Amino acid sequence: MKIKLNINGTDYESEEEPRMLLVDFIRDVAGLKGTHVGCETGSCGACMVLLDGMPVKSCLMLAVQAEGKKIITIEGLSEKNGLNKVQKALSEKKALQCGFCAAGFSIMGTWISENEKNIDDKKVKEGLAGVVCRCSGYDTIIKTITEVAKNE
Amino acid sequence: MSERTEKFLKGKGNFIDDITFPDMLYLEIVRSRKAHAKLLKVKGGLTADNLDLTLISTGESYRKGKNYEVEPVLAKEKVLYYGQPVSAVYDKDRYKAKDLAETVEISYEELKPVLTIEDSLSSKPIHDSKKDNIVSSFEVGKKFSLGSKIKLSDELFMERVLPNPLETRGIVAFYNSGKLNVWISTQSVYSIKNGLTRILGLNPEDINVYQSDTGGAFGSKSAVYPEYVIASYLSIKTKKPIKWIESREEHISSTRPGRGAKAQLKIYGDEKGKIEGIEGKILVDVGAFADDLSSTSPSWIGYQITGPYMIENVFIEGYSVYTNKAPLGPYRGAGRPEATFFIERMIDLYADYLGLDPVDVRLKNLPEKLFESPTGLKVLPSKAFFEEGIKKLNYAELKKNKAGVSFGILIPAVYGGESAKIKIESGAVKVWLGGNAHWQRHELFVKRIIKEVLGIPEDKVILMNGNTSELEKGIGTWGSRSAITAGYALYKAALALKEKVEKMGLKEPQQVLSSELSSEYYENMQLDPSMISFLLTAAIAEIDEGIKPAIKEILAYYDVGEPLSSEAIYGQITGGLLMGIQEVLTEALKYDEKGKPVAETLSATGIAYSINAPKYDVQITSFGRSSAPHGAKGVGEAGTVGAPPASARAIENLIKKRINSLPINLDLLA
Repeated sequence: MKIKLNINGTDYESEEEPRMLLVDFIRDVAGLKGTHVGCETGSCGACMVLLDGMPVKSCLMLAVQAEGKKIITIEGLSEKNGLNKVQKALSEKKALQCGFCAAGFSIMGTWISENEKNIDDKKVKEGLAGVVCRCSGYDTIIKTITEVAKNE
Repeated sequence: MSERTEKFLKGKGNFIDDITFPDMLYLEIVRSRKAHAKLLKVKGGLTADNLDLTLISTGESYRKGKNYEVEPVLAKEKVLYYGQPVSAVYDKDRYKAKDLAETVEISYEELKPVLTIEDSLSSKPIHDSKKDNIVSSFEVGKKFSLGSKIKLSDELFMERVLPNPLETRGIVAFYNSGKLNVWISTQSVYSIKNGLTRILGLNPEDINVYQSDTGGAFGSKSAVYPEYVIASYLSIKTKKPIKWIESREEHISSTRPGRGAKAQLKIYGDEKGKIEGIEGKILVDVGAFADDLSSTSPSWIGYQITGPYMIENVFIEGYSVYTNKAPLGPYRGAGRPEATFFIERMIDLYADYLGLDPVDVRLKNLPEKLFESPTGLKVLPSKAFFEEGIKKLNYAELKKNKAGVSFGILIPAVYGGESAKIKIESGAVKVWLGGNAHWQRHELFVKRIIKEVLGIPEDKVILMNGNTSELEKGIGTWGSRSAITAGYALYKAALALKEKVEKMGLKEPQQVLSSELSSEYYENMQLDPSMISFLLTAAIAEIDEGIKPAIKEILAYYDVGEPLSSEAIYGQITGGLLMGIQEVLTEALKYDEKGKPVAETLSATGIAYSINAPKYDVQITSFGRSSAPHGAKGVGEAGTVGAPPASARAIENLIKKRINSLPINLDLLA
């Protein structure tokens, strides 16, 4: 079937099987490789994207389910392929190690910083609870996102 | 700022599944759905009838073992663990390859699986050619007999744990113009090249291995696995690029886990807290197939059983045994956490028996001059370090909070040494290391060393991914070795380059950057006591909601020698600490009664999420430089060594029941 998705403001159209997952469309059809597959079961958040402004795990939905919605991936979080505030802070604080989790923490961190009120460490910790970092013990990530969110 | 991290945050990494070629074929592995069975029929795909090869030991497998059965690339006649590769299929469409895998027919005659160390010792051999299930046996230390006043025994166990890097394993093999090119997510392009060359019978000059960005490893990406051989073989056969990406479920069933170690120990001492001896058995479950590393792990654990202590009498018998489970591999620490957990738990047992403060007992048994254990381990006088550390962590306060405290050592795997290459090209300094980083921050020490030695600004220095055609010889990154070994090789390569620069009369960094100089260095290294770091860890526990134990605060006072980058080291330590804590609480690879892993998803393996992160108090300190010219010591595995015994003790202090097995049995709280 023909699947047409809007990702980071660009329309992509392709003839695909209905079973194609959103994450595979993003990676293999749109060629946006910053969204990763870490677990295929929604455990890790490496595949996170924003769907009409809400964070979703793109390994848990079909591409066709995202038709008519605005999809933002890690590549589209800031204009002109730069870094948004959360991404910039994560980079400056050297919060990530292997980097495979970058989409998860960038997307979820951005959503938290823009949407959560009266932010504190605890709220950030809970907000990030669906995203896995296997390297860092989360400390610098939590502190960095809390700091950005407080200044929002 | 790290260019590397910035690249990842822009979504511009180049991880293994990001590498694609036109006409690429996707490989799917069809795996055994039984832990122990005769194969009656395998129909479909590439099978052992077409590809009859066995693996060899490479990577971290550096020692000589004996009596071991090496894993075949594809199962022949029998399957010996759930998840063992039986057949392989491929298609140009990822989804269709999975469909194809479903069409392969396998019929089994089930046999009773051997699943525990006890079972293994009393069961018929799982390998028909062997007389029993013992892979190897060792004796370390020296037999002794003591008339000690106190003799206490316990059995301790650490369950299997999966490495579970966020990026699973994966490979792209492309045979092109007579050469096999391999892109792989790995800790060592050299162990992959060496393994594939030998297994497939290739000429070393006909294979190049390139490291993709590597999304974590924790030991799981050091060795050659069956899938790498199959992908390479199929690419040679089809002349097309072949990609294999491991699913998480495959990681759980088939990637090599670590730990799975048991100790039956007896501690000897006087009535005042002086430890007089330690003896007993260490048994390791190596799974269905063995290699050098797994089969020698009991002796490696035994070798370091005295930790930082002066214990004059040591005798350990070690056994590694077969079971119908995935083969064992290294997991962050690989033997070091086991030895530390075992001795620390025995010292707590001894202190409790005497009614003494466990920290006092520990301090009482530390050497004040160089100590050589009966196992051959040489430890520098450690007393001053721990006395200072216990003050720095405010022991009175810790005691009030019922903290658990552990003392430990971290022995870096420096043997084999390491290589480094520096090449100035297009106004930048490119660096290749023999150990292939997955952003444990090698980048930071690389920039620092180049800046210190050559005066070149850090933003002009680029650490390249592993590449066997740029740097021919190398070892790998594991065993807390990189800062010492790769740092050393790079330092020497930089000094050699500096000499060339001075000879040519180049003064300004800009002049150097416009040159086309290069320098390469390799040297083997030997462990000396100055490279062993000391670790002091304390944990404070709580019982969440009255039922769930948790660690609310973890404190570390760690000796890192001359720190190459404090920021880098901080993340390494906190990351290791959380892994160590989680291994005490929930993280484990458990099997059901048929030998199938209980977990099928990442979260079900019990790994830590952000909500499990404790408050960290990490104090990075130097107890003298190591003998490497830049003074570094290891750090990568510090947290996984220090956290388990401290965390177990902290929980024990709250529930008042002895913890001798990990992960803790929640029934203890009932």
